[in-house]
Amino acid sequence: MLTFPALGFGLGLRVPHYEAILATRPAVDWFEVLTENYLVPGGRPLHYLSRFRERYPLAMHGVSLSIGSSTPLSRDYLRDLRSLAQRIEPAWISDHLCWTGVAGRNTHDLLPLPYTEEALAQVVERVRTVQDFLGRRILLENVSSYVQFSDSRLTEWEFLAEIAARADCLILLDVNNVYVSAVNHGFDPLEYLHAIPVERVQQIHLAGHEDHGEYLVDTHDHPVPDPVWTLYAAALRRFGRVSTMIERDDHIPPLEELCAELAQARALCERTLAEPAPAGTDGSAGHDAPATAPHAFAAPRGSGRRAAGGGS
Amino acid sequence: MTTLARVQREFQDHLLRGDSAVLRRVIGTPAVPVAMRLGIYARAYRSRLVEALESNYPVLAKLLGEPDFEVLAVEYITAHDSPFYSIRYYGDQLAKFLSAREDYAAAPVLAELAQWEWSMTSVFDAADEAPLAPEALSGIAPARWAQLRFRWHPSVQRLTLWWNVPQLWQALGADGERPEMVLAAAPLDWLLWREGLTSYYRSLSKTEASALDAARSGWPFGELCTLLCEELGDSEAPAQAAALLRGWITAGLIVGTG
Repeated sequence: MLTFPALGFGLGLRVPHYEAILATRPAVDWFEVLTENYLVPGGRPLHYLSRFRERYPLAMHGVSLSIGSSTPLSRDYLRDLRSLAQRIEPAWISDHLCWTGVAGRNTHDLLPLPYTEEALAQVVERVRTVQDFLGRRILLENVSSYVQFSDSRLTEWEFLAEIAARADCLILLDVNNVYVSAVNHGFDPLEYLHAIPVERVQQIHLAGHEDHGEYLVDTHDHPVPDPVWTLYAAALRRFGRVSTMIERDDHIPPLEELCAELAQARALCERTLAEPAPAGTDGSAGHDAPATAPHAFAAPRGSGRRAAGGGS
Repeated sequence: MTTLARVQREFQDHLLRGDSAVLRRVIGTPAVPVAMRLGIYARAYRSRLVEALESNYPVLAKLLGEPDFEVLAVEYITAHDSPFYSIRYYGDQLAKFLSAREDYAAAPVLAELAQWEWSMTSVFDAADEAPLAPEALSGIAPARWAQLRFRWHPSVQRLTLWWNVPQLWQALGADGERPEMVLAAAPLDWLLWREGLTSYYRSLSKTEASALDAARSGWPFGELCTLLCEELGDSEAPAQAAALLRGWITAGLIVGTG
Protein backbone atom coordinates (compact mmCIF):
# COMPACT_ATOMS: atom_id res chain seq x y z
CA MET A 1 0.00 0.00 0.00
CA LEU A 2 2.81 2.44 0.76
CA THR A 3 3.64 4.42 -2.34
CA PHE A 4 6.93 5.83 -1.19
CA PRO A 5 9.97 4.04 0.21
CA ALA A 6 10.83 4.60 3.87
CA LEU A 7 13.62 7.12 4.38
CA GLY A 8 14.71 6.47 7.96
CA PHE A 9 15.33 9.29 10.42
CA GLY A 10 15.19 12.92 9.35
CA LEU A 11 15.16 16.48 10.55
CA GLY A 12 13.33 19.61 9.51
CA LEU A 13 15.60 21.73 7.34
CA ARG A 14 15.98 25.12 9.01
CA VAL A 15 17.94 28.18 7.84
CA PRO A 16 20.23 28.45 10.93
CA HIS A 17 21.56 24.96 10.12
CA TYR A 18 22.24 25.47 6.40
CA GLU A 19 25.97 26.03 6.64
CA ALA A 20 26.53 23.41 9.34
CA ILE A 21 24.76 20.77 7.26
CA LEU A 22 26.75 21.60 4.15
CA ALA A 23 30.01 21.68 6.09
CA THR A 24 29.56 18.57 8.24
CA ARG A 25 27.25 16.33 6.19
CA PRO A 26 25.56 15.00 9.36
CA ALA A 27 24.23 11.46 9.47
CA VAL A 28 20.65 12.51 8.88
CA ASP A 29 18.86 10.21 6.45
CA TRP A 30 16.61 12.88 4.97
CA PHE A 31 15.25 16.37 5.51
CA GLU A 32 11.74 17.72 5.54
CA VAL A 33 11.50 21.20 4.02
CA LEU A 34 8.79 23.75 4.72
CA THR A 35 7.25 24.14 1.29
CA GLU A 36 6.26 27.81 1.59
CA ASN A 37 9.84 28.87 2.39
CA TYR A 38 10.75 27.90 -1.15
CA LEU A 39 7.68 29.16 -2.99
CA VAL A 40 9.56 32.30 -3.93
CA PRO A 41 10.76 33.35 -7.37
CA GLY A 42 14.49 32.69 -6.79
CA GLY A 43 17.61 33.75 -4.94
CA ARG A 44 19.19 32.17 -1.89
CA PRO A 45 16.26 29.98 -0.72
CA LEU A 46 16.04 28.05 -3.98
CA HIS A 47 19.81 27.98 -4.41
CA TYR A 48 20.23 26.30 -1.03
CA LEU A 49 17.34 23.97 -1.64
CA SER A 50 19.04 22.64 -4.78
CA ARG A 51 22.27 22.11 -2.88
CA PHE A 52 20.50 20.10 -0.18
CA ARG A 53 18.61 18.13 -2.78
CA GLU A 54 21.93 17.07 -4.33
CA ARG A 55 22.94 15.62 -0.96
CA TYR A 56 19.81 14.31 0.75
CA PRO A 57 16.34 13.01 0.01
CA LEU A 58 13.80 15.74 0.76
CA ALA A 59 10.11 15.67 1.63
CA MET A 60 7.94 18.75 1.15
CA HIS A 61 5.78 19.79 4.09
CA GLY A 62 3.28 22.58 3.49
CA VAL A 63 1.00 24.71 5.64
CA SER A 64 -1.13 26.47 3.02
CA LEU A 65 -3.14 23.79 1.25
CA SER A 66 -6.12 24.46 3.54
CA ILE A 67 -7.61 21.14 2.53
CA GLY A 68 -10.49 21.57 4.98
CA SER A 69 -11.54 25.05 3.94
CA SER A 70 -15.03 25.64 2.61
CA THR A 71 -13.74 28.07 -0.01
CA PRO A 72 -12.19 26.81 -3.25
CA LEU A 73 -8.66 25.47 -3.33
CA SER A 74 -6.11 28.09 -4.35
CA ARG A 75 -5.12 27.32 -7.93
CA ASP A 76 -2.10 29.60 -7.56
CA TYR A 77 -0.90 27.62 -4.58
CA LEU A 78 -1.43 24.29 -6.30
CA ARG A 79 0.39 25.47 -9.41
CA ASP A 80 3.34 26.76 -7.35
CA LEU A 81 3.37 23.58 -5.27
CA ARG A 82 3.49 21.43 -8.38
CA SER A 83 6.27 23.41 -9.96
CA LEU A 84 8.39 23.23 -6.80
CA ALA A 85 7.76 19.48 -6.69
CA GLN A 86 8.85 19.18 -10.32
CA ARG A 87 11.97 21.12 -9.48
CA ILE A 88 13.13 19.11 -6.47
CA GLU A 89 11.36 15.77 -6.93
CA PRO A 90 10.55 15.28 -3.25
CA ALA A 91 10.13 11.84 -1.73
CA TRP A 92 6.57 12.95 -0.90
CA ILE A 93 4.39 15.98 -0.27
CA SER A 94 2.48 16.54 2.94
CA ASP A 95 0.19 19.13 4.49
CA HIS A 96 -2.28 19.24 7.36
CA LEU A 97 -5.80 18.03 7.96
CA CYS A 98 -7.10 21.48 8.80
CA TRP A 99 -8.21 24.75 7.26
CA THR A 100 -6.29 28.02 7.32
CA GLY A 101 -8.87 30.56 6.21
CA VAL A 102 -12.00 31.32 4.22
CA ALA A 103 -13.36 34.15 2.08
CA GLY A 104 -9.99 35.18 0.68
CA ARG A 105 -8.33 35.50 4.08
CA ASN A 106 -5.53 33.42 5.51
CA THR A 107 -5.10 33.16 9.28
CA HIS A 108 -1.78 31.34 8.75
CA ASP A 109 -2.84 28.90 11.44
CA LEU A 110 -3.78 25.22 11.27
CA LEU A 111 -7.38 25.39 12.39
CA PRO A 112 -9.45 22.40 13.46
CA LEU A 113 -12.46 21.03 11.61
CA PRO A 114 -15.80 19.89 12.93
CA TYR A 115 -15.80 16.13 12.44
CA THR A 116 -19.02 15.84 10.48
CA GLU A 117 -20.09 13.85 7.44
CA GLU A 118 -20.39 17.12 5.53
CA ALA A 119 -16.78 18.11 6.28
CA LEU A 120 -15.61 14.58 5.56
CA ALA A 121 -17.22 14.50 2.11
CA GLN A 122 -15.80 17.88 1.26
CA VAL A 123 -12.26 17.10 2.38
CA VAL A 124 -12.30 13.80 0.50
CA GLU A 125 -13.30 15.54 -2.71
CA ARG A 126 -10.59 18.15 -2.29
CA VAL A 127 -7.89 15.58 -1.52
CA ARG A 128 -8.82 13.78 -4.74
CA THR A 129 -8.61 17.05 -6.68
CA VAL A 130 -5.19 17.82 -5.22
CA GLN A 131 -3.88 14.31 -5.85
CA ASP A 132 -5.13 14.39 -9.44
CA PHE A 133 -3.51 17.77 -9.97
CA LEU A 134 -0.17 16.73 -8.48
CA GLY A 135 -0.27 13.27 -10.01
CA ARG A 136 0.65 11.67 -6.70
CA ARG A 137 -0.80 10.77 -3.34
CA ILE A 138 -0.33 13.27 -0.56
CA LEU A 139 0.10 12.81 3.19
CA LEU A 140 -2.20 14.56 5.61
CA GLU A 141 -1.03 15.32 9.13
CA ASN A 142 -3.19 15.40 12.23
CA VAL A 143 -2.95 18.82 13.88
CA SER A 144 -2.94 19.76 17.55
CA SER A 145 -6.19 21.33 18.60
CA TYR A 146 -7.61 23.28 21.49
CA VAL A 147 -11.29 23.25 20.63
CA GLN A 148 -13.86 20.68 19.65
CA PHE A 149 -17.05 21.58 17.87
CA SER A 150 -20.47 20.64 19.15
CA ASP A 151 -21.38 19.65 15.58
CA SER A 152 -18.80 16.84 15.55
CA ARG A 153 -20.26 13.38 15.15
CA LEU A 154 -17.00 11.48 14.69
CA THR A 155 -13.79 11.35 16.68
CA GLU A 156 -10.69 12.88 15.13
CA TRP A 157 -9.19 9.45 14.53
CA GLU A 158 -12.33 8.17 12.83
CA PHE A 159 -12.38 11.29 10.68
CA LEU A 160 -8.71 10.96 9.70
CA ALA A 161 -8.91 7.24 8.98
CA GLU A 162 -12.06 7.69 6.92
CA ILE A 163 -10.56 10.48 4.83
CA ALA A 164 -7.47 8.42 4.12
CA ALA A 165 -9.60 5.45 3.07
CA ARG A 166 -12.11 7.34 0.94
CA ALA A 167 -9.64 9.72 -0.71
CA ASP A 168 -6.87 7.12 -0.89
CA CYS A 169 -4.30 9.42 0.68
CA LEU A 170 -1.56 8.73 3.19
CA ILE A 171 -1.07 9.86 6.77
CA LEU A 172 1.66 11.84 8.44
CA LEU A 173 1.13 10.92 12.05
CA ASP A 174 2.32 13.64 14.41
CA VAL A 175 2.78 11.82 17.69
CA ASN A 176 3.20 15.06 19.61
CA ASN A 177 -0.04 16.40 18.16
CA VAL A 178 -1.89 13.25 19.17
CA TYR A 179 -0.56 13.68 22.68
CA VAL A 180 -1.31 17.41 22.88
CA SER A 181 -4.88 16.94 21.64
CA ALA A 182 -5.35 13.92 23.92
CA VAL A 183 -4.51 16.06 26.95
CA ASN A 184 -6.51 19.04 25.70
CA HIS A 185 -9.62 17.00 24.94
CA GLY A 186 -9.24 14.18 27.40
CA PHE A 187 -9.02 11.18 25.12
CA ASP A 188 -6.70 8.19 25.26
CA PRO A 189 -3.87 8.67 22.75
CA LEU A 190 -3.53 4.90 22.38
CA GLU A 191 -7.12 4.63 21.27
CA TYR A 192 -6.21 7.17 18.60
CA LEU A 193 -3.19 5.17 17.44
CA HIS A 194 -5.12 1.91 17.37
CA ALA A 195 -7.71 3.41 15.07
CA ILE A 196 -5.24 4.58 12.46
CA PRO A 197 -4.79 2.09 9.63
CA VAL A 198 -1.22 0.82 9.68
CA GLU A 199 -0.81 0.75 5.92
CA ARG A 200 -1.63 4.44 5.54
CA VAL A 201 1.05 5.84 7.84
CA GLN A 202 3.96 7.01 5.70
CA GLN A 203 5.68 9.37 8.12
CA ILE A 204 5.87 10.25 11.81
CA HIS A 205 6.58 13.65 13.34
CA LEU A 206 8.14 14.10 16.75
CA ALA A 207 8.17 17.46 18.49
CA GLY A 208 7.85 19.23 21.79
CA HIS A 209 5.12 21.39 23.25
CA GLU A 210 4.48 23.86 26.03
CA ASP A 211 2.70 22.80 29.19
CA HIS A 212 0.20 25.37 30.45
CA GLY A 213 -1.01 23.18 33.29
CA GLU A 214 -4.62 22.73 32.22
CA TYR A 215 -3.73 22.40 28.57
CA LEU A 216 -0.78 21.92 26.22
CA VAL A 217 0.19 24.16 23.32
CA ASP A 218 1.93 22.73 20.30
CA THR A 219 4.87 25.12 20.03
CA HIS A 220 7.63 23.03 18.43
CA ASP A 221 10.11 24.95 20.53
CA HIS A 222 11.13 22.29 23.05
CA PRO A 223 12.88 18.93 22.88
CA VAL A 224 10.65 15.89 22.51
CA PRO A 225 9.30 15.29 26.04
CA ASP A 226 9.02 11.92 27.77
CA PRO A 227 5.31 11.29 27.19
CA VAL A 228 5.81 11.84 23.47
CA TRP A 229 8.72 9.37 23.43
CA THR A 230 6.47 6.90 25.21
CA LEU A 231 3.72 7.38 22.66
CA TYR A 232 6.28 7.12 19.86
CA ALA A 233 7.32 3.71 21.17
CA ALA A 234 3.67 2.64 21.03
CA ALA A 235 3.43 4.02 17.49
CA LEU A 236 6.53 2.06 16.47
CA ARG A 237 5.00 -1.14 17.82
CA ARG A 238 1.87 -0.52 15.78
CA PHE A 239 3.22 1.02 12.58
CA GLY A 240 6.73 -0.43 12.42
CA ARG A 241 9.74 1.29 10.95
CA VAL A 242 8.04 4.38 9.57
CA SER A 243 10.09 7.36 8.37
CA THR A 244 10.42 9.65 11.36
CA MET A 245 11.56 13.22 11.73
CA ILE A 246 11.97 15.77 14.51
CA GLU A 247 10.30 19.12 14.00
CA ARG A 248 11.71 22.22 15.67
CA ASP A 249 10.42 25.60 14.56
CA ASP A 250 11.44 27.95 17.34
CA HIS A 251 14.30 28.20 19.85
CA ILE A 252 16.24 26.21 17.29
CA PRO A 253 19.24 24.59 19.01
CA PRO A 254 22.59 23.83 17.34
CA LEU A 255 22.46 21.08 14.74
CA GLU A 256 24.41 18.63 16.95
CA GLU A 257 21.73 18.87 19.59
CA LEU A 258 19.00 17.91 17.14
CA CYS A 259 21.19 15.14 15.73
CA ALA A 260 21.57 13.79 19.28
CA GLU A 261 17.79 13.88 19.71
CA LEU A 262 17.41 12.08 16.41
CA ALA A 263 19.88 9.43 17.60
CA GLN A 264 17.61 8.97 20.61
CA ALA A 265 14.67 8.34 18.26
CA ARG A 266 16.75 5.87 16.28
CA ALA A 267 17.82 4.01 19.41
CA LEU A 268 14.28 3.90 20.75
CA CYS A 269 13.12 2.49 17.43
CA GLU A 270 15.76 -0.24 17.46
CA ARG A 271 15.03 -1.18 21.08
CA THR A 272 11.28 -1.16 20.59
CA LEU A 273 11.28 -3.22 17.42
CA ALA A 274 13.74 -5.74 18.91
CA GLU A 275 11.38 -6.46 21.80
CA PRO A 276 8.65 -9.05 21.62
CA ALA A 277 5.29 -7.31 21.33
CA PRO A 278 3.47 -7.09 24.67
CA ALA A 279 0.69 -9.67 24.74
CA GLY A 280 -2.65 -8.56 23.40
CA THR A 281 -1.68 -4.99 22.79
CA ASP A 282 0.67 -2.88 20.77
CA GLY A 283 1.85 -1.22 23.89
CA SER A 284 0.38 0.83 26.63
CA ALA A 285 3.04 0.21 29.25
CA GLY A 286 5.62 2.50 27.73
CA HIS A 287 8.34 0.68 29.67
CA ASP A 288 10.90 1.12 26.93
CA ALA A 289 10.85 4.88 26.99
CA PRO A 290 12.32 7.38 29.41
CA ALA A 291 10.45 8.14 32.62
CA THR A 292 6.82 8.92 32.06
CA ALA A 293 5.56 12.44 32.74
CA PRO A 294 2.67 13.01 35.14
CA HIS A 295 -0.15 13.12 32.65
CA ALA A 296 1.27 10.72 30.13
CA PHE A 297 -1.40 8.18 29.36
CA ALA A 298 -3.56 9.26 32.26
CA ALA A 299 -6.96 7.68 32.24
CA PRO A 300 -9.00 9.25 29.47
CA ARG A 301 -10.74 12.35 30.70
CA GLY A 302 -13.59 12.03 28.25
CA SER A 303 -15.33 9.43 26.19
CA GLY A 304 -13.79 8.37 22.93
CA ARG A 305 -16.61 9.71 20.85
CA ARG A 306 -16.94 13.45 21.28
CA ALA A 307 -14.53 13.73 24.15
CA ALA A 308 -14.36 16.55 26.64
CA GLY A 309 -18.04 16.64 27.44
CA GLY A 310 -19.89 19.62 28.81
CA GLY A 311 -21.37 22.33 26.67
CA SER A 312 -20.28 25.89 26.25
CA MET B 1 -23.96 28.34 2.82
CA THR B 2 -23.06 24.91 4.23
CA THR B 3 -22.80 24.36 7.97
CA LEU B 4 -19.04 23.95 7.58
CA ALA B 5 -18.79 27.28 5.77
CA ARG B 6 -20.79 28.97 8.53
CA VAL B 7 -18.64 27.46 11.29
CA GLN B 8 -15.47 28.50 9.54
CA ARG B 9 -16.71 32.01 8.84
CA GLU B 10 -17.68 32.46 12.48
CA PHE B 11 -14.39 30.99 13.71
CA GLN B 12 -12.40 33.26 11.44
CA ASP B 13 -14.46 36.31 12.39
CA HIS B 14 -13.65 35.51 16.00
CA LEU B 15 -9.91 35.42 15.29
CA LEU B 16 -9.90 38.49 13.08
CA ARG B 17 -12.44 40.67 14.84
CA GLY B 18 -13.38 39.06 18.12
CA ASP B 19 -16.92 38.20 16.96
CA SER B 20 -18.62 35.88 19.42
CA ALA B 21 -20.97 33.82 17.23
CA VAL B 22 -18.60 30.83 17.20
CA LEU B 23 -18.64 30.48 20.99
CA ARG B 24 -21.86 28.50 20.94
CA ARG B 25 -20.34 25.98 18.53
CA VAL B 26 -17.36 25.08 20.72
CA ILE B 27 -17.23 22.65 23.63
CA GLY B 28 -15.43 23.70 26.77
CA THR B 29 -14.57 21.95 30.02
CA PRO B 30 -14.66 23.33 33.54
CA ALA B 31 -10.86 23.42 33.62
CA VAL B 32 -10.49 24.90 30.15
CA PRO B 33 -13.60 26.88 29.24
CA VAL B 34 -14.53 27.89 25.71
CA ALA B 35 -13.13 31.42 25.89
CA MET B 36 -9.76 30.12 27.06
CA ARG B 37 -9.67 27.57 24.25
CA LEU B 38 -10.53 30.10 21.56
CA GLY B 39 -8.09 32.52 23.16
CA ILE B 40 -5.22 30.17 22.32
CA TYR B 41 -6.07 30.57 18.64
CA ALA B 42 -6.67 34.31 18.84
CA ARG B 43 -3.32 34.88 20.53
CA ALA B 44 -1.53 32.58 18.12
CA TYR B 45 -3.06 34.43 15.15
CA ARG B 46 -1.89 37.77 16.40
CA SER B 47 1.57 36.68 17.49
CA ARG B 48 2.18 34.84 14.23
CA LEU B 49 1.44 37.96 12.19
CA VAL B 50 3.44 40.19 14.55
CA GLU B 51 6.33 37.77 14.07
CA ALA B 52 5.89 37.90 10.28
CA LEU B 53 6.07 41.70 10.36
CA GLU B 54 9.13 41.55 12.59
CA SER B 55 10.83 39.21 10.21
CA ASN B 56 10.01 41.38 7.18
CA TYR B 57 10.91 44.63 8.98
CA PRO B 58 13.68 43.72 11.45
CA VAL B 59 15.38 47.12 11.36
CA LEU B 60 12.15 49.07 11.71
CA ALA B 61 11.39 46.85 14.72
CA LYS B 62 14.79 47.65 16.16
CA LEU B 63 14.40 51.38 15.52
CA LEU B 64 10.99 51.54 17.20
CA GLY B 65 11.84 49.12 20.00
CA GLU B 66 9.73 46.08 20.84
CA PRO B 67 6.76 47.71 22.61
CA ASP B 68 6.20 50.39 19.96
CA PHE B 69 6.73 47.98 17.11
CA GLU B 70 4.17 45.64 18.62
CA VAL B 71 1.66 48.49 18.88
CA LEU B 72 2.28 49.31 15.21
CA ALA B 73 2.06 45.64 14.23
CA VAL B 74 -1.24 45.12 16.02
CA GLU B 75 -2.67 48.25 14.42
CA TYR B 76 -1.56 47.02 11.03
CA ILE B 77 -2.97 43.54 11.69
CA THR B 78 -6.30 45.06 12.71
CA ALA B 79 -6.40 47.03 9.46
CA HIS B 80 -4.99 44.31 7.17
CA ASP B 81 -6.11 40.70 7.01
CA SER B 82 -3.74 38.46 5.10
CA PRO B 83 -4.88 37.58 1.59
CA PHE B 84 -1.64 35.68 0.91
CA TYR B 85 -1.21 31.93 0.92
CA SER B 86 2.35 32.47 2.11
CA ILE B 87 3.07 34.56 5.19
CA ARG B 88 6.26 35.73 3.43
CA TYR B 89 4.20 38.45 1.74
CA TYR B 90 2.34 39.70 4.80
CA GLY B 91 3.11 43.35 5.49
CA ASP B 92 3.35 44.52 1.90
CA GLN B 93 1.27 47.62 2.72
CA LEU B 94 3.20 48.72 5.80
CA ALA B 95 4.98 51.69 4.17
CA LYS B 96 1.67 52.95 2.83
CA PHE B 97 0.07 52.39 6.24
CA LEU B 98 2.81 54.41 7.95
CA SER B 99 2.42 57.28 5.47
CA ALA B 100 -1.33 57.38 5.75
CA ARG B 101 -1.54 57.37 9.55
CA GLU B 102 -1.09 60.86 10.91
CA ASP B 103 0.83 59.83 14.04
CA TYR B 104 3.34 57.76 12.09
CA ALA B 105 3.48 60.15 9.14
CA ALA B 106 4.86 62.74 11.55
CA ALA B 107 8.07 60.66 11.45
CA PRO B 108 8.33 60.05 7.68
CA VAL B 109 11.61 58.19 8.08
CA LEU B 110 9.53 55.23 9.30
CA ALA B 111 7.64 54.84 6.03
CA GLU B 112 10.85 55.21 4.04
CA LEU B 113 12.59 52.58 6.15
CA ALA B 114 9.63 50.22 5.67
CA GLN B 115 9.78 50.81 1.93
CA TRP B 116 13.51 50.08 1.98
CA GLU B 117 13.21 46.86 3.96
CA TRP B 118 10.39 45.55 1.80
CA SER B 119 12.42 46.31 -1.32
CA MET B 120 15.49 44.57 0.08
CA THR B 121 13.44 41.44 0.77
CA SER B 122 12.06 41.55 -2.77
CA VAL B 123 15.63 41.81 -4.08
CA PHE B 124 16.67 38.85 -1.91
CA ASP B 125 14.29 36.31 -3.41
CA ALA B 126 13.54 37.81 -6.83
CA ALA B 127 13.73 35.41 -9.76
CA ASP B 128 17.14 34.32 -10.99
CA GLU B 129 18.24 35.30 -14.44
CA ALA B 130 21.68 35.20 -16.01
CA PRO B 131 23.11 38.67 -16.67
CA LEU B 132 24.01 39.65 -20.20
CA ALA B 133 27.70 39.06 -20.92
CA PRO B 134 29.54 42.25 -21.91
CA GLU B 135 30.68 40.56 -25.16
CA ALA B 136 27.07 40.17 -26.22
CA LEU B 137 26.93 43.88 -27.08
CA SER B 138 29.93 43.80 -29.38
CA GLY B 139 28.04 41.69 -31.89
CA ILE B 140 25.22 44.18 -32.29
CA ALA B 141 25.19 45.92 -35.68
CA PRO B 142 25.69 49.72 -35.41
CA ALA B 143 22.39 50.31 -37.24
CA ARG B 144 20.47 48.51 -34.49
CA TRP B 145 21.80 50.52 -31.55
CA ALA B 146 19.35 53.41 -31.77
CA GLN B 147 16.42 51.00 -31.40
CA LEU B 148 18.06 48.71 -28.84
CA ARG B 149 16.00 48.11 -25.69
CA PHE B 150 17.15 46.36 -22.53
CA ARG B 151 15.63 43.67 -20.32
CA TRP B 152 16.37 44.10 -16.63
CA HIS B 153 17.18 41.63 -13.91
CA PRO B 154 13.98 40.81 -11.94
CA SER B 155 15.65 41.94 -8.71
CA VAL B 156 16.16 45.56 -9.80
CA GLN B 157 14.38 48.07 -7.55
CA ARG B 158 14.47 51.87 -7.57
CA LEU B 159 13.73 54.07 -4.59
CA THR B 160 13.82 57.81 -4.01
CA LEU B 161 14.38 58.73 -0.37
CA TRP B 162 14.56 61.93 1.64
CA TRP B 163 16.13 60.34 4.70
CA ASN B 164 19.45 58.59 5.23
CA VAL B 165 17.62 55.29 5.43
CA PRO B 166 20.34 53.08 3.89
CA GLN B 167 22.88 54.23 6.49
CA LEU B 168 20.35 53.72 9.24
CA TRP B 169 19.49 50.27 7.90
CA GLN B 170 23.11 49.23 7.65
CA ALA B 171 24.09 50.48 11.11
CA LEU B 172 21.08 49.03 12.93
CA GLY B 173 21.18 45.80 10.93
CA ALA B 174 24.78 45.29 12.02
CA ASP B 175 23.84 46.08 15.62
CA GLY B 176 25.89 49.24 15.31
CA GLU B 177 25.17 52.56 16.92
CA ARG B 178 22.16 54.35 15.54
CA PRO B 179 23.28 57.19 13.29
CA GLU B 180 21.49 60.50 13.45
CA MET B 181 18.47 60.58 11.20
CA VAL B 182 19.13 63.14 8.51
CA LEU B 183 16.67 64.74 6.14
CA ALA B 184 18.38 65.63 2.86
CA ALA B 185 17.87 68.97 1.11
CA ALA B 186 16.73 67.06 -1.96
CA PRO B 187 15.64 63.42 -2.27
CA LEU B 188 18.30 60.87 -3.21
CA ASP B 189 17.86 58.17 -5.84
CA TRP B 190 18.80 54.60 -4.93
CA LEU B 191 19.24 51.45 -6.93
CA LEU B 192 18.86 48.01 -5.32
CA TRP B 193 19.60 44.74 -7.06
CA ARG B 194 21.05 41.27 -6.68
CA GLU B 195 23.96 39.77 -8.53
CA GLY B 196 24.13 36.03 -8.04
CA LEU B 197 23.16 35.57 -4.41
CA THR B 198 24.45 38.90 -3.16
CA SER B 199 22.21 41.92 -2.74
CA TYR B 200 23.63 45.37 -3.53
CA TYR B 201 22.52 48.96 -3.36
CA ARG B 202 24.01 52.26 -4.38
CA SER B 203 22.95 55.85 -4.82
CA LEU B 204 22.43 57.28 -8.28
CA SER B 205 23.19 60.67 -9.74
CA LYS B 206 20.16 62.52 -11.09
CA THR B 207 21.43 61.87 -14.61
CA GLU B 208 21.82 58.14 -14.10
CA ALA B 209 18.50 57.90 -12.28
CA SER B 210 16.57 59.50 -15.11
CA ALA B 211 18.40 57.46 -17.78
CA LEU B 212 17.89 54.23 -15.84
CA ASP B 213 14.22 54.92 -15.20
CA ALA B 214 13.69 55.76 -18.87
CA ALA B 215 15.55 52.62 -19.96
CA ARG B 216 13.55 50.45 -17.57
CA SER B 217 10.31 51.87 -18.87
CA GLY B 218 11.31 50.72 -22.36
CA TRP B 219 13.04 53.66 -24.01
CA PRO B 220 15.46 52.54 -26.72
CA PHE B 221 19.14 53.42 -26.47
CA GLY B 222 18.81 56.20 -29.10
CA GLU B 223 16.26 58.02 -27.01
CA LEU B 224 18.38 57.61 -23.88
CA CYS B 225 21.18 59.31 -25.76
CA THR B 226 18.86 62.17 -26.72
CA LEU B 227 17.81 62.48 -23.08
CA LEU B 228 21.46 62.65 -21.99
CA CYS B 229 22.23 65.23 -24.69
CA GLU B 230 19.50 67.45 -23.29
CA GLU B 231 20.92 67.13 -19.80
CA LEU B 232 24.66 67.12 -20.47
CA GLY B 233 25.12 68.65 -23.92
CA ASP B 234 26.24 66.98 -27.13
CA SER B 235 29.89 66.73 -26.20
CA GLU B 236 29.56 64.79 -22.95
CA ALA B 237 26.48 62.72 -23.71
CA PRO B 238 27.94 59.92 -25.88
CA ALA B 239 30.74 59.10 -23.43
CA GLN B 240 28.29 59.23 -20.53
CA ALA B 241 25.79 56.95 -22.32
CA ALA B 242 28.53 54.41 -22.97
CA ALA B 243 29.76 54.61 -19.36
CA LEU B 244 26.31 54.14 -17.90
CA LEU B 245 25.58 51.17 -20.09
CA ARG B 246 28.92 49.60 -19.24
CA GLY B 247 28.22 50.08 -15.54
CA TRP B 248 24.76 48.48 -15.82
CA ILE B 249 26.14 45.51 -17.71
CA THR B 250 29.06 45.03 -15.32
CA ALA B 251 26.73 45.09 -12.32
CA GLY B 252 24.55 42.41 -13.87
CA LEU B 253 21.49 44.65 -14.12
CA ILE B 254 20.76 43.81 -17.76
CA VAL B 255 19.78 40.32 -18.78
CA GLY B 256 18.93 40.81 -22.44
CA THR B 257 18.29 43.13 -25.33
CA GLY B 258 15.43 43.45 -27.75
